Amino acid sequence: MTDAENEIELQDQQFKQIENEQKMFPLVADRLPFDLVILDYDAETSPDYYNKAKELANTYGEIRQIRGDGNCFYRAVFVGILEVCMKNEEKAKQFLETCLGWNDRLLKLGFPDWTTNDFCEVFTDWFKKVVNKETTSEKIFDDLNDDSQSNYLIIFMRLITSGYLKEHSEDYAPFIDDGRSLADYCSTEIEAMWKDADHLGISGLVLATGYNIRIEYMDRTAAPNGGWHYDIPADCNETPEISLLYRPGHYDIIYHK
Amino acid sequence: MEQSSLLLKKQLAELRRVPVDGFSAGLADDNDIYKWEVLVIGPPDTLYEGGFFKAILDFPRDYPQKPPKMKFTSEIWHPNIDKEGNVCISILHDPGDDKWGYERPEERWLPVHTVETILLSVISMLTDPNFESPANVDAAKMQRENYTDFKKKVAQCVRKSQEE
Repeated sequence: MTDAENEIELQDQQFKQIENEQKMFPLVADRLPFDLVILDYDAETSPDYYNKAKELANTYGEIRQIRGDGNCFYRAVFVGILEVCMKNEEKAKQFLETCLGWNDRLLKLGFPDWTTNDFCEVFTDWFKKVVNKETTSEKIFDDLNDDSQSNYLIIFMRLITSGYLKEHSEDYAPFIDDGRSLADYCSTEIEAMWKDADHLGISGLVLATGYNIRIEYMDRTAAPNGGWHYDIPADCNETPEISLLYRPGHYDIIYHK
Repeated sequence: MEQSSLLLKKQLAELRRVPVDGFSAGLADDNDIYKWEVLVIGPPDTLYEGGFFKAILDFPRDYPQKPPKMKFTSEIWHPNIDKEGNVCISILHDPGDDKWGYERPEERWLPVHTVETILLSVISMLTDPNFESPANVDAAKMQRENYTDFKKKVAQCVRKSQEE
């Protein structure tokens, strides 16, 4: 084997190892006490994180961890929306309408009809059962933790994110700074599985679903308003119903006390 | 039933209903929806014209999150098909797969791709090989340096494929 091949081989093994380690975590974990987050940090060696975690524990009582497989942002928001819909039938119906509407919107944007219809149908058929209460909370979370089921639903989330960005391409194209077109950007960064969401992905999913979110940032940067969070979209008037905790490279769902 | 098998069943039915020029597709084994046999027709006006090349498409259980693998079982001499018959084109690689760094990333695998888009890429690869990333270095070299021999070698494969 040449050096280059050896290196590729080694890289492959590393990727595989990371993938396997990640697969030991559930895709969507149960709600657990937020204090767990504090336990992740040492007051002596990482005081920044430790103190932020303690501060957040005043506001948030629980955390639901999401597997770090590159889909965590999409999955976290999706689960957040589901939980809202499971408690509120009106909102569930409304979200179903939004999702049903996306099928035509995607086709109008030129998404390949064959596969797009399939992802849309699987998603809406699945979600209809939630709306009509033809399923149980247990079954819903079983599905969310079944790789094949769960990721199929995530593909839909990615498609509508891409769709929203493409519908507003004039607004978003200026943010892509490496000379790529918005369409190229969407197919490499949004429509492709396992790719982390950046600020365009975040904005696209929020606006495509109609669900505002709050993101609490646990990194070393300070937020503008003295707190640690950003609301998306920035001009939303009410406190968003869904809150996420961001730690570098990863999102989990957190719940107000 | 797994989503992947439902999607594959639907695609197979659709391809039977509306065949696409340039290839035909069916199951390699009637009991296994994850293993397809395809017959690729050598594209007109290329060295491969007149050939009927058999290949196997091997779908993973997590299709369409991950792409299938494609392997020619008919002998075929081409820079982007290795000597075991494995097809090496970017559309069959996962986006996370960065070892194929020379390709335009937007050509990688996406869940919205279908058997049809894969096969159309393969047919376009037969028409238009990618020399930057040869899977069969000997074929790439021969095509560049000794085109007469290259043509002969391909013609042999075409003839053989007609006899299979």
